[in-house]
Amino acid sequence: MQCPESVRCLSAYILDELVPSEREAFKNHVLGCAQCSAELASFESVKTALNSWDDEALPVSAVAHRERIRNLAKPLTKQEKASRLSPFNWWQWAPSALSFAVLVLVFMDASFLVAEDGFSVSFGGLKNDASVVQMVDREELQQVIARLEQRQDQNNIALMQAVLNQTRESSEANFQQLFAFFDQQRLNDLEQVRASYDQLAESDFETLRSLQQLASYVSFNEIVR
Amino acid sequence: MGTIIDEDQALVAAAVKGSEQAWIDLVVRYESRIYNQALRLTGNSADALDLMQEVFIGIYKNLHRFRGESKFSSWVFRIVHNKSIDLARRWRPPVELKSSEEPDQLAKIPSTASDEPDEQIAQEQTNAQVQVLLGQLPIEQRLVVELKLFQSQTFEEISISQDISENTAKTRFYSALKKLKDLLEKNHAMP
Repeated sequence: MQCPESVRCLSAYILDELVPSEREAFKNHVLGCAQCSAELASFESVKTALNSWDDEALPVSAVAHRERIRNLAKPLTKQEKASRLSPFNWWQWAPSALSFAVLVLVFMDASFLVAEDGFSVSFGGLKNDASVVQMVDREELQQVIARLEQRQDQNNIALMQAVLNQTRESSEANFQQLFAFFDQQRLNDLEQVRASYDQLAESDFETLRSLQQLASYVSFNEIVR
Repeated sequence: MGTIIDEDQALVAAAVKGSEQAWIDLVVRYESRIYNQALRLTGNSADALDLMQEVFIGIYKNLHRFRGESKFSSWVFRIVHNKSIDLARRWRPPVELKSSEEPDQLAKIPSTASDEPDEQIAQEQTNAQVQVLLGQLPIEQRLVVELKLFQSQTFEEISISQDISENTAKTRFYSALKKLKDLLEKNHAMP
């Protein structure tokens, strides 16, 4: 069992939270209390054990770490500066550039023709006949480009027409569906009104018949009297 | 002490302006202290060196933010603290003992330097015992013990540097001591 004084004051004593008079009183108590004395000695032994730490020198294996740390403030060499200024080296972009070039050639439907007098490049799937082989002057190239543009325009127009037709057709279909729906709705409403009217007329007719029966009964009584 | 603080601030100012020598002087001044802190917090030399390197990189990157409102050593320890927390999240505690193994593990370490004639080995063994003890504590308690016992900070200073209340700092410190006390008592109780 723990001494009540120890429970009350020991942690405060260790954490140096006691006022001087309380501290003195607890010290006096410890002198006469074996439990508190042992408890306090245990805590002191922990502090003593921890305080036995003696600073160590950096190990031999710290050389690389030291070097890296000291080099943090080292001025950059010209090569380092250059690599920092131009972090994107051309060879990093070479594969992307090559892929882009191939893609462009594919889109342009390009073809190469090697002849005795050199080579020629053609675009737009032109036939490799003799006239095409000679097509290296600017004028012909412009013609090809113009043809390509024309074809592109035609394609665009065709595409737009297809889109418009599809839109119109789908709009028509939608309107027809809408009209059919409204018409059906109107017929349903009429049917409902007619049913309600019949029901009302039926109920009125029953009321009339009851009144007639009542009148007959009354007139019969009058005759009897 | 005031002179050291002034020298620290002068070196920081010069390093911020790009003086390589000022940075090296700062490193020389603090490397042993940071390494020993890291050794106590991580429990082994390899992790301590990595932590020391990360701390210095952190110091260098943030040097321009040091305004001199607090002591440079306190500011440095704040970085040690942050990096230690990072390390504690990434790595297992340096020495993790199951309760049944605790006395055996502690018994392996000589309790006094007299067990070994060589002074350096004795020092390393004494330090190893401290590392084993600190290794039993969670990182939060280890940091408070480090600040209170090894850096001689007040609980008020600890509460500020750790962003915790003073009461939390005291509770962590007392819990740590109590845990270590129980551990040592168990160790001594072994036949």
